[in-house]
Amino acid sequence: MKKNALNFFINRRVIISLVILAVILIGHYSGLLKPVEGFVFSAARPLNKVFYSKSSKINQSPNQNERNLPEELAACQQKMVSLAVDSSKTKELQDENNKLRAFINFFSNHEYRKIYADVLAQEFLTEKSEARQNIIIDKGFKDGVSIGLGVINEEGVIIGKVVEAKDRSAKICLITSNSCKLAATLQNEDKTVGVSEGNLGLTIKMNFIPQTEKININDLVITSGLGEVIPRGLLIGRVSEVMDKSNEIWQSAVIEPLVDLNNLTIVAVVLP
Amino acid sequence: MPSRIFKIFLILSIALLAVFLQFSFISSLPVFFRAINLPLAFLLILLIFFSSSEALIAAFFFGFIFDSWYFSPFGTYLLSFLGIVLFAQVVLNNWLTNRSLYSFLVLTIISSFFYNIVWSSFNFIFSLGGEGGRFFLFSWDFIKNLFFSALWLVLICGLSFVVLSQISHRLKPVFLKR
Repeated sequence: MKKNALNFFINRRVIISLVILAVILIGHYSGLLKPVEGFVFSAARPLNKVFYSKSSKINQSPNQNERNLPEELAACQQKMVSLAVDSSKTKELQDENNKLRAFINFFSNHEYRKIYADVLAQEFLTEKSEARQNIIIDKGFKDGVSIGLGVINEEGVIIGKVVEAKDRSAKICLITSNSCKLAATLQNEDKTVGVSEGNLGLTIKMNFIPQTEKININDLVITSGLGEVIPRGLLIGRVSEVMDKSNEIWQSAVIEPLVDLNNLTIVAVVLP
Repeated sequence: MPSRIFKIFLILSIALLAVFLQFSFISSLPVFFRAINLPLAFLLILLIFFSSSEALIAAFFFGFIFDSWYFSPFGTYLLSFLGIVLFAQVVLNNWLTNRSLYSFLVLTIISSFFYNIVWSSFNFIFSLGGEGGRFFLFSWDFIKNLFFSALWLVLICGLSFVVLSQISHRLKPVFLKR
């Protein structure tokens, strides 16, 4: 039995496979395969976009606030009628158009330089933790994207930041992801400054706030501009809970994101 | 020869569809469905219905594309997919030799565990000190995923076996006849 297994590992096919593997790895790490990798990514981009947009529609998270259910029902009924009228292709184009218009509206009021990007995928294969959510966009180093830049949706709300980039793609950590930290400030009387970080893929937390600072529920949280490349004033979310135990030095705030992070198809990377 | 080229072309076409579905579609579904691993299921089906050569070609194809698209260290997917084909081939040649549904399902469970552990190990080793460099083995998410992905793989491969055994004579019936 052992001899059979050993014979298998020294057979021709296995040796050829290992040689090809070595060639690919050397080709990649020496940079020789970069054009091929870039071509494979670019050629597949349109289809990836289509598949992702179908999937993100399935994955749209329901509104967690039960008080809004009647409005949600009415909106759904309206949507059903509209869907019956429009063909699916027209609807896709219309959605894209609306998002781009919203972007133009936002940027005409704010002087940010930006790069529009399509969301192609979420980065998972065996790693299924909700606490670590990343998306992959179709713009990378060659388009001017660099690590640390903020990423916003069509309403101008920050949804994450660039954590890794390749020539033609970039990985964005979402604001609710545990590993995503942003320099933030509360729009309260004290203009409290701190660092926001994702909390289990659901909410955002702002820790280490001195007990002397007064935080109110529903205070808005924006980027503070203290990070090197993310401008001040991008909306992060709204305070939904304040945790201030009298026996502790610091208090913390739970921030609820204002956008559905499962429904991102087009985003914009904000340049410094 | 032309039939072999056609066969490889057909395999790569289906593999390409599996790549798109896995990368853009499945990865964005709710957590339970993200445990579906189409490339792994496809490799095991190839190994059972065709031969290790076809499975190796598909493993290179999946590995290269995923390593180019994802942000895991380059080589993680190539080594994992290649590893799983070689591992499953050794298991098939030495232990699960009768090509029945039972042996196929046992192979899928073992392969699913092996793949997840190998992929996570490579990712852990290559990303030491980085974001992915956290030890996975005692993580609840990892254990949960291990079982979910085995469950999906058994479902997909089991169904494929039942369907494909109707058109192939290389396999034994689902229930052994007396």
